[in-house]
Amino acid sequence: MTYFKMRWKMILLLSIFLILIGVGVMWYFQSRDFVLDLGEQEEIRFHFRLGGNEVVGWSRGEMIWRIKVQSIIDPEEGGSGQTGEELILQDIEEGYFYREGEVYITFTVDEAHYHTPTEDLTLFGVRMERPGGDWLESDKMIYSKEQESLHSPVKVIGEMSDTSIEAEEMTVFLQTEEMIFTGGVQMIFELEGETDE
Amino acid sequence: MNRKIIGLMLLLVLIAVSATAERKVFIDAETARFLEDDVVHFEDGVQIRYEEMIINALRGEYLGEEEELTLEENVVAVQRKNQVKSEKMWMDLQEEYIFFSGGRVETLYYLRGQENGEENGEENGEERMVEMWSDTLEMWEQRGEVLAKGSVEALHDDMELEADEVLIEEEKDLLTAIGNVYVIRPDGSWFRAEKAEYNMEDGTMVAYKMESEFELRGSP
Repeated sequence: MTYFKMRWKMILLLSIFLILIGVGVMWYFQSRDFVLDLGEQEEIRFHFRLGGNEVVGWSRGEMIWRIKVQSIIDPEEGGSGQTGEELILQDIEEGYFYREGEVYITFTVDEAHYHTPTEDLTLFGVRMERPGGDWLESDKMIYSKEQESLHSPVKVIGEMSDTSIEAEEMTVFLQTEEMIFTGGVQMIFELEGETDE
Repeated sequence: MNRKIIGLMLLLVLIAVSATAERKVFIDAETARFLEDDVVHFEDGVQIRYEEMIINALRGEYLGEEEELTLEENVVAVQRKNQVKSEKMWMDLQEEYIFFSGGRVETLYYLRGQENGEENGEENGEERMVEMWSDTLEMWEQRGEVLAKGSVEALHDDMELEADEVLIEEEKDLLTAIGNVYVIRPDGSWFRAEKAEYNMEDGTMVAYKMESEFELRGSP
């Protein structure tokens, strides 16, 4: 009788030990490859994914932006006052805006804030570049998911197609590629050819 | 010897490079809208600077591919002292051709050497200029020509002129009025003709196909 009790106890202890090891292993791997899905879970309809060292923004099943980032901070008392509403992305290597699956804009940025309720992205100290040499710089630029636009509420400078430009504000509608500059807009267009002085 | 030739060639290249300048158009506005196909719309407080010309307007459009500029509403173009006011202006920057239209185009055109008050321009405190009103005005910058069309009225040296068209050729110091020409001279005399050429340097005029007699007002 005692022998059987001892055996059951051994089996029970062994099982508990194995379960603890299993839980430990699962916890270890989860912490190494943390994946957070927010929003709807149906197929590709999730809006925001945090995985590895990349943060990706989605809209209507299409990847809109992607940021390679080292630090993601969820401040306890952020600007929104509620934990998880605003994530701060720091030590950003590079970011991309996509259009129809292709990289449309490449950007470097000092810091980015992701606002989870609206899925908007605010970029601080940003320089955007497009293939061909076009570039824009601003201290603050906001990506609005709802409007599918980029808006700089502060001074913006840049060069586009042999045109240098400076303005107090700027809005870019990503779908139509329409760019609106407002407030003290100064443009210099370089013409082809040269003129004798 | 070879070094001297190479040095001379480099010097010539340097001179050629320094003799040319990039052509640029400066556009200031309160709002600018960049659309696809290299089209830019701008409005409110629009100011364009191109070489010696400054143009103000309420709104405009620039076509980058074609290098064409369109300005609308209260267009005022100033080049040195020359000034044109109109409702619409279209400019081909490649050809340096400008077309003013819309309402009555008002033009103040200072004759060569007069823009900066040089030579005899400000003798006795007067400057030699042509003041014109027309339906349209065309300017060829390189050729130094101005063509006013449509019920043209012009004032020059107290001479009043009306015609269907007036062409000013700076190089020739020539003002040519064409079609239904009517001229009243400072002494009160007047005539009608199909064409009149006025030499702006010496003040002589040649009239063609005069319809009526040359009449002097107040003559016996």
